[in-house]
Amino acid sequence: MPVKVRIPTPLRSLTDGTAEVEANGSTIIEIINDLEKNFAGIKERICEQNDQVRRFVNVYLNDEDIRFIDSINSKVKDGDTVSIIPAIAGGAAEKKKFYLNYPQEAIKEPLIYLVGKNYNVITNIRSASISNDIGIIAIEIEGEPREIEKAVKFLESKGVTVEPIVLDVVE
Amino acid sequence: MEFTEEQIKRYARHIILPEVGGEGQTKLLSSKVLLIGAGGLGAPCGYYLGAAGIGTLGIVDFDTVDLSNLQRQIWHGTADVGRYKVDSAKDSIARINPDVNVVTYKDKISSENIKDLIKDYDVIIDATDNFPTRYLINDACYFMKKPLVYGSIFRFDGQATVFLPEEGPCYRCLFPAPPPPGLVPSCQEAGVLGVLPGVIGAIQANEAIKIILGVGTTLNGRLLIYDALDMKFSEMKLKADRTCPLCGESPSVFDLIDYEDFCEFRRED
Repeated sequence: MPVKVRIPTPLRSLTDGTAEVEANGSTIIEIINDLEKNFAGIKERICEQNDQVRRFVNVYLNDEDIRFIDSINSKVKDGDTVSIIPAIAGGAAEKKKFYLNYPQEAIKEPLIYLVGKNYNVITNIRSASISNDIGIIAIEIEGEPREIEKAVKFLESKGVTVEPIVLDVVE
Repeated sequence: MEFTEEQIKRYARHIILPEVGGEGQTKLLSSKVLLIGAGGLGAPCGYYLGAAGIGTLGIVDFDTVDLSNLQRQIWHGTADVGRYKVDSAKDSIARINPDVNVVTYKDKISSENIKDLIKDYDVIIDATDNFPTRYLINDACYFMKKPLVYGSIFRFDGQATVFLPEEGPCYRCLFPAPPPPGLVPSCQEAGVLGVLPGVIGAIQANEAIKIILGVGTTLNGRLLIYDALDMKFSEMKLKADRTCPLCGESPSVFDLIDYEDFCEFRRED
């Protein structure tokens, strides 16, 4: 039984940009499993490993939250519309440039790697001067303002002096 | 309240509406609205609230204006880059309407200060851009019984609703807990269409004004979903959740939580 499924923009990278797709099944979980067949990777964005819908995603059958029907076992019928609505918070990415001045003891630590690994930011080194004694790096950090702030705090906690590059001298 | 000649002219298009009238305009002029966030959602929302003659408009934002903000944060101009957003916002409102008493807060909102910030206001507007602050605002508004006008945007998607603590539901009924850091979309997927916060922010202003006037039907109990790419508005039912950790039958949230701290623990281990 085909139903229409509304895909929110964050998940459209998995549906080739399509906003509304068709899926078959008689319950919500069957619909989600059918979606996964056609759009690999979509299920893990919606469901936990035990198939329950993630706490920051809601699935609506027509305009009713499935949590108030029969959750993933809610029955669907021909012509129904299923909407996937994730929690969104806003936040546009920003790029900020900084000079990082390393203390000697931190030069050998992979701090920039750790920044990229631990925080939701993209780092890009624009110029650097590194020897055994000094380490000065001009870096671009892209991400949400709060993530950038955390990345900066982390670097500072490791003894690195972080100075914003005010004028665009790197470009 | 006696209107001045100038006020009668300024608010004529409001006063002539039976749903507003002189009485409604007086309500607006004596109301206090707190706008949390002076960015994409805050700018259109605050502009309309200022123009409508909200008596006291509090604006909270610790950030400064960046050139990359101007694509959507329409109350800041190129010359404002580097200034505090709240200062730029205050100037913009003063240009439109000198009746409005704009109170600015350059504070970072936290569990320490939020109750003090919201306590004197009639309506709170969530125009923020991150999950930790949204949960903090929701919980504080629930504890202090303040109506909360919620709006949120991401890329081309917008959401808006109204949470009334006396009646429910709350934001945690909608989404019980914030997503763990690793599961929020990465910044490569982020970005936002500049007009989108304009649409949602204006809806938030509309709802705040209706709450103050006591007219019409607010979005309480309904989640408005806006898809700017497909140009579709849809509406989902939003019910109070009996299992809600905040306002449900056996709550587990009794205090304000600074979620950011949690995340930092997780990330540095």
